[in-house]
Amino acid sequence: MMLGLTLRSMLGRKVSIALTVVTLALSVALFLTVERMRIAVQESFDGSVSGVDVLVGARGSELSLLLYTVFQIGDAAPSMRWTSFEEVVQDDRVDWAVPISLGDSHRRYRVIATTSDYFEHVRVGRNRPLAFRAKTDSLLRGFGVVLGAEVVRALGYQIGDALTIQHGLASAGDESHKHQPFIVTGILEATGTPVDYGVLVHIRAFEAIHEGWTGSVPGTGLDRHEGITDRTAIDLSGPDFEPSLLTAVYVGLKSKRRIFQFIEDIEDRDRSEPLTGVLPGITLSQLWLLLATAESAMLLFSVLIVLVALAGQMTLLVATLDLRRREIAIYRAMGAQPITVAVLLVLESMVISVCAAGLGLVLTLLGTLTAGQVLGGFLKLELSAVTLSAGQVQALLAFVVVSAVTGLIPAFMAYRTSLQDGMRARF
Amino acid sequence: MTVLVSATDLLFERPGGFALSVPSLAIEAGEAVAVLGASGTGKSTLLDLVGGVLRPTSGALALFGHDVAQLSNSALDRLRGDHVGVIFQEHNLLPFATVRQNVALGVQFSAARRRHLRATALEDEIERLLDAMDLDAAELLRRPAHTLSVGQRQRVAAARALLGAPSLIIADEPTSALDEGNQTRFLALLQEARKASGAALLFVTHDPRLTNGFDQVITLDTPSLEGKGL
Repeated sequence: MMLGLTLRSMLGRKVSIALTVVTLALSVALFLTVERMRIAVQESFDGSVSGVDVLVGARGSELSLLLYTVFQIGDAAPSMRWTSFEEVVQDDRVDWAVPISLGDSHRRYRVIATTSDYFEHVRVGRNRPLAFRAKTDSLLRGFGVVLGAEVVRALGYQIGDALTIQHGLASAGDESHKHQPFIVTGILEATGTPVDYGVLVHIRAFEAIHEGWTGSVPGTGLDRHEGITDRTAIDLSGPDFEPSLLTAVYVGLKSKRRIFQFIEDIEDRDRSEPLTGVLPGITLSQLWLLLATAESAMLLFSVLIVLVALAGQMTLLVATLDLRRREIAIYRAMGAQPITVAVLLVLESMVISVCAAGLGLVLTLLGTLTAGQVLGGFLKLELSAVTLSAGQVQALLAFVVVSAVTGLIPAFMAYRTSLQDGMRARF
Repeated sequence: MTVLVSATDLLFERPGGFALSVPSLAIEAGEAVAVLGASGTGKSTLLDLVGGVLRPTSGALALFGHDVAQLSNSALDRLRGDHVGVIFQEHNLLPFATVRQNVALGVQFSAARRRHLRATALEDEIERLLDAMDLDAAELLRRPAHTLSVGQRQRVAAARALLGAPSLIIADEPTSALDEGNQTRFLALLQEARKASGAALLFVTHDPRLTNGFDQVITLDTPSLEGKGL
């Protein structure tokens, strides 16, 4: 009954009410998007290295090693020796070890040189194994290449297509490896992690295309396997193609209880090559701690915007109060008590805030999709569809309550005015 | 007869010197009372007192059997909602609402008047009252109030005041915006409709010609002058 009256009254002022709702909705959307992005980025980062107990790399910054190896962010990490990788593999505590070598690219998409064990042991999201959208039996055999979902989406490759990779992050015009094409043997399902942006080749094939290179100076550029039609059948198991260096190793241990002892041992300065052992989860937590201040500032900023919008809503209600004296006097003449008039104003505030919250959610969905594309391009992450966390639901409820409280001020003014005006409706 | 409104030695004063004095006043059930006076003589103030919006400075005032001095503000509001139908000088319909919604507003804030309607469907009663005010309910019910002519608006306002059978209709110069022909017609329709429902009428006007047919005529001259009548 009261709600119907409120809604009809609001419809009579639909333009100003609509503008207020849109303003509030934009502020709500900003708040939710900031919060959603924060959670999504963390989830996506955390989900990129699930299943890996320890990330081993050359001596250096733990965070840099993790960011470069897993997310291809930041400066290239120094290389570690292949012999060190073999030592890790032979360690009794190690269940599995997957070598990772980075450096080259294909049309700006990073090449990840590894072994077929990568597909068996690396997990994404909440310990989800990698799945193939399409594949042949070859996978990383010979010069086979497996592509991430986003690479295929952007470049349109299919199984059997040939592609060449460029040295470093060179543009597509680089022809350093043009005589050593790879054949697409597998396409991965989307994971929402940097894997989607990966071009995965065998680490021995990676070594093969760099045969004869001295540092970054190209060798002959010729392919010793020229003339072999089926490039996935090329045997690269010989000692010529054993890498001497690699970027990092993903390690799974037989027992999680031995993680710290394992890290201590590989970081031992008395080793032939002291390494760095990274616990991905802990290092990412340190990253979030580092970013917490910036996140809080962003959150505070968006909360302030919501408050400014609420102040705007209050201003609108107060400004229209004088215009509504006639309406209020009519209600009073019909027997409405001043408190009833005040309740109508608070109800109006709540209707505005509920509409704004709803519209804000829709805008958040659109904002997340847009931001997701931007983040995808820069951070190789995917923002999942809008799912509200308990905290966000609480924030929305708090918004509605604060909005209602904001309505108390014009409601009180209406209460006072209605007491003075009574049922005189001649203004 | 039941006395709806009774006042003795009623005095109302405002800061600035305005004063309205009514030695005695009684309005019985079903009675038609006209209050005649020029602008500034306190006609609207008298209506506010009878409507329970203002409280007298001194004197005794009883509304519908209740001593105003003993009633809280909210009780006075309830009393007004339950017993009084109001017609304003200007029609004062809600412009954003339809004719039907405007008439239904008459019982919006009164449980007693809604209870009274229980025997009759709200829609039927609204149509009956619009018909009584010589309005084509079928055509007008769904129309927004702002699309009506001035005369139609005032008759819709009268239907609103009559909904739920209040025992007293207060009409504050409701004919002032109408031409002479419509004034007479409106008043005749109002009198007929309120007689049918058994409601008393307290009708304020500055036009002596409109006081014909009233059971009482109270003349207010200038502020501070006594109301005359009973």
